[in-house]
Amino acid sequence: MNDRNDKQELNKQVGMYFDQALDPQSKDEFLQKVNSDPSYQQAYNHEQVIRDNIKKHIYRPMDSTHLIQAIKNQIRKP
Amino acid sequence: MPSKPSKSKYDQVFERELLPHVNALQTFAYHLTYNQEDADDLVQETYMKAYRFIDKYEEGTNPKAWLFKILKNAYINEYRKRVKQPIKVDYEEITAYHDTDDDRISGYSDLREEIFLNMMGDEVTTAINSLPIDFRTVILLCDIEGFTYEEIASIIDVPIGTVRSRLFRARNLLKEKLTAYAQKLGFTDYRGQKRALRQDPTSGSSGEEE
Repeated sequence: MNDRNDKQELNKQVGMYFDQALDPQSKDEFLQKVNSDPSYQQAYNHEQVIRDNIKKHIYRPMDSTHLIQAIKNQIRKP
Repeated sequence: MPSKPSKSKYDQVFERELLPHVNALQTFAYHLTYNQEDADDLVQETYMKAYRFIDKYEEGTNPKAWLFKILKNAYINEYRKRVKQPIKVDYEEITAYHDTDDDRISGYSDLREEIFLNMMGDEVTTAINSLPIDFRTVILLCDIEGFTYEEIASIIDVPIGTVRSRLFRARNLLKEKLTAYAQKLGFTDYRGQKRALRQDPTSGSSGEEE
């Protein structure tokens, strides 16, 4: 039961860290644990890989040149 | 008494602080509208509104969050009316979803890394685009754009607890969809048997192609 609670707490901490929801002190404590505790390190690395992959694989329109020009033209209209 | 900034000062602020966020806004708009042309119109409308109200913007504060809030409002108020498209409601989702405040935090701890190995590029986009709009929005704002809970709460006008609640449910839905995709490719999750996710030898799929 304690193992399960520990794992839930670990996952919650990892999620909050990547969501930038930890206060500075909790963030420091969390990063210290990542550096010293293999289970924290593993969970941290895993979450980072998943989030990086989601960011990497989502479609992003890249060509904004025409749009920027259209916006500039629009605001320069008298 | 401080002097009112000149028009050119506003133009400088606009170009220096607001225009650099055009790509992020385009991505957000695209995943709201599912259409490049509509997305560009929405972004253009956002910048027109931002320029019109630039005297309300406090220089050096949070231009990205301000623009996203304008875009979200423009989408709700104008785009939906213009395209005259009824909002699709998935009642199965709604029955399991109430906008209640809670403090559950969810990451992707139970999603397998291997899922991404054979992705061709559009599976994440398809999975995110298939989420109900409220869930899609928080995933885009948090996981793609990196806004904090507070910023998201301000952008979409809901309490922080609701942001957490929606993220929790949105990530669970996204994980289900990505896992289902992986299973289609022939991957089976053996974690219940204390074995890593691996290709199902009986599936006949190499895992490298559909």
